[in-house]
Amino acid sequence: MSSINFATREISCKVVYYGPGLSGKTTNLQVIHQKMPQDKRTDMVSLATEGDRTLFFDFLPLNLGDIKGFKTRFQLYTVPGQVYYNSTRKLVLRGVDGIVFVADSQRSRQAENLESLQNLRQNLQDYGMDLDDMPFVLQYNKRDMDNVFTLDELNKELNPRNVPFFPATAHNGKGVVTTLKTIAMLVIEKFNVKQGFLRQAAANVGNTGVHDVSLTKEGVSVKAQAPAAPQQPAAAPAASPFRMPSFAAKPPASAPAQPSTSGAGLFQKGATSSPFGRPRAATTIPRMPTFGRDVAKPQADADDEIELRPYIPKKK
Amino acid sequence: MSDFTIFSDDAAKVQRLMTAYQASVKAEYIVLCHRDGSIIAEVGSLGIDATPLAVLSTASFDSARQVGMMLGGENFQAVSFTGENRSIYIAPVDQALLLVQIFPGSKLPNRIEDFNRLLVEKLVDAVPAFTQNTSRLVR
Repeated sequence: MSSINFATREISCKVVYYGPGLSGKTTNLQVIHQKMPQDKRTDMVSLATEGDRTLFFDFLPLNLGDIKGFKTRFQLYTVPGQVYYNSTRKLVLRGVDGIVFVADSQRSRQAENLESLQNLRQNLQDYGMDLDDMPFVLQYNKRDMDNVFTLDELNKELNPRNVPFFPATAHNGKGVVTTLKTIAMLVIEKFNVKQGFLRQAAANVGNTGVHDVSLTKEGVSVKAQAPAAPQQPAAAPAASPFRMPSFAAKPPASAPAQPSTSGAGLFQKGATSSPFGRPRAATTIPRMPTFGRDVAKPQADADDEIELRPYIPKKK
Repeated sequence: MSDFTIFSDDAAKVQRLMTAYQASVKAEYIVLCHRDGSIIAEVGSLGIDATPLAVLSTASFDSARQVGMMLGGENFQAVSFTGENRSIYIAPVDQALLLVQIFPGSKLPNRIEDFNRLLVEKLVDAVPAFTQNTSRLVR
């Protein structure tokens, strides 16, 4: 799930390398990690067995430069390929923005490729996502092995929609970076499109409530969620079973009890230094962004307008 | 896929709350992250990249949740680790976020669960947008 942080000016996207066991997913990340410049190299995290089989996931954060003043950060994950790690694969797939399916080109591994692809589709469905609607590329790895399918044969079995595909020999680095660049570009393009839809939808609705934007073939439709029913004043709630200790200095016994105005409480550090326990002051800063409303925008809102362009690698 | 947006004023509110909290509980480092790995706010410094920490913490918490499901639906509320020099406390903030707190020493503060619950309430109250984005794409 892409996230955009206007405070730190960062866009973060998640790409998962999926595929059957021993197809080369971890090798892809290792190659990418090695190719990173020394001064910009980030740590790669691997949760693996002693035999270097991925146990949970591999993770590599990747900075892909700035786009319109926003740092673009990709989080690359691999999943364990063995069949019985399906629950782990599902966890890693959550919030994915783009998928690289690393297939093993060997003829003896075709069944595993198909099973893994089907498994991917099923796991995405469990999250309410459709593989056909998200950035997706295929990498046909191990092209240097004996007895491999031709690219046409692989496409016929694994690529009916003709998504981008790349032959690769990951262990010596071939095809790895090209695959990564393509998926990154597709993810950013999708992010840009989605941001445009959401902005347009919010402007159409003209409010700041929560609403669902449905993206269909006919276009965009917006449905405002029903406002929460006004809550009836509930019966007095049961007293909390625990009472937070007050660290405020107790007034002398002879002094009359004064209502606390400093909000002294658990996190008391000083009367004015901690927001905990302090009566909430009225604020003029709206909590929700003011899409479409005629409100004088503070200076900072100008930073909230972004227009992303897809990443186009420079030709050498 | 849906997007998650963090606006500057919301991040500033979170930062203030977490800074006050950190001083109160004497944590070495606190990070609020999305359970998909994105960092929302952090206070303190460990001298390391917070992103792998957030990702691994999410993995730890998700693993604990899975174990809980295997144990018949046990709903673990938090995960903690104690070491010789540092201790970690990981707890969710509503459905989507995770709060990771690192403390010096081999023991967590007393009643860390209660401290944490207060902070979570404050965070959710201060920034409802964290738990309900303005818009989300549904299919």
